Amino acid sequence: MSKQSALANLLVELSIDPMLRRRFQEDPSTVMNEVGLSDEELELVAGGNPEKIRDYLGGDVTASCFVMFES
Amino acid sequence: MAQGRLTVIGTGYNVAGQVTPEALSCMKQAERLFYLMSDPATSAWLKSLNAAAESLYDCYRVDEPGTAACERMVERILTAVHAGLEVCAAFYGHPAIFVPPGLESLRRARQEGFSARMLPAISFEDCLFADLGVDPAVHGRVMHEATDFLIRPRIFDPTAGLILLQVGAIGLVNFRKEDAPNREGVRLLARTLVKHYPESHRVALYRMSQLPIFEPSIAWVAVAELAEAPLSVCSTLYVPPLPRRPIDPEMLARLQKTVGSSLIAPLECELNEGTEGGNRNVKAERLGESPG
Repeated sequence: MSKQSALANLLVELSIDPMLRRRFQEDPSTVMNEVGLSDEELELVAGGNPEKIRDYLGGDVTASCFVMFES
Repeated sequence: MAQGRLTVIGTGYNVAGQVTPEALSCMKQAERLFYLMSDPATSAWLKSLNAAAESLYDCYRVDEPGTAACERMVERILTAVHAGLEVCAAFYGHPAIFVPPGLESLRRARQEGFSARMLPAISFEDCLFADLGVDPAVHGRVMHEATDFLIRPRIFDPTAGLILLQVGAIGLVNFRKEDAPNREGVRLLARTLVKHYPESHRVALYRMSQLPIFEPSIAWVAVAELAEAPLSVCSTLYVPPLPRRPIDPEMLARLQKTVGSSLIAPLECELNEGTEGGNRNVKAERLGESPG
């Protein structure tokens, strides 16, 4: 598993596991080290900027929404 | 050739945590999984669930109306259905709420005689009610897309909660990648709202959390200061209701005759107190009001 997917996988696990989320809230460093995030990823998560995390994870979505207003 | 089938689902928000077990099974079992997500973690998760997962994001073209992208998405989804495949189309949020390609592909597939269904999901509104602590059944609530709300003058009831979608994207019809809101549009909205609410009325700019490591963004501001508030193109505006209207004694009396006095007694108390809206539910309602 790449480091990039390790972060994506952690986000999946945090979204479905309330106990893990609580552990993460109390001690994020321990949880992130357990799943093997890189220093860059640790810094990204600590920075608390969702847009930077999105940019790092890549893929085909942007921070913008999909405006679908129909006239 | 097998008869193609379509299931349209929503994944809610916050990566995988709001996906129903039924929707999860549909995504895993589909022969072709199309998806449109708002964060890359969810996209990566969907690809891990189903090797036949395919993003619809490339249907968008910068500076082109969203309706053109919608048409391309529907065409791509239906082409797979026509090919006899078990197709799942997954959209973030609720697939029926502000997701034109979800409903349109469902409609056309059915019209063409294919089996097609939509599964319910967690919507942005469900997240808003939970995060703001609002019970929409107490005062009622009205929901509009913000641009639509402005250009088609609405006769709405300000004693019900008002939810306006995409307040940062007012007037923006074409797809774009930038996240900069149209603040002049928000200024116009604020001028419209102060015709119905006191300038000091506190409103919430809300954006649900889309990654589990972040809290939702909730900013309470006076309605007159809306244009200066922190917002993005995806922000939703929640305007708490004004005090409830007084009870109509004539209607109350007529209703009383239909059910007997005991059921109406609490309402009679409110009527006798002469308060506009009464205070019986104030404690419960406070959660959804501005803390300021």
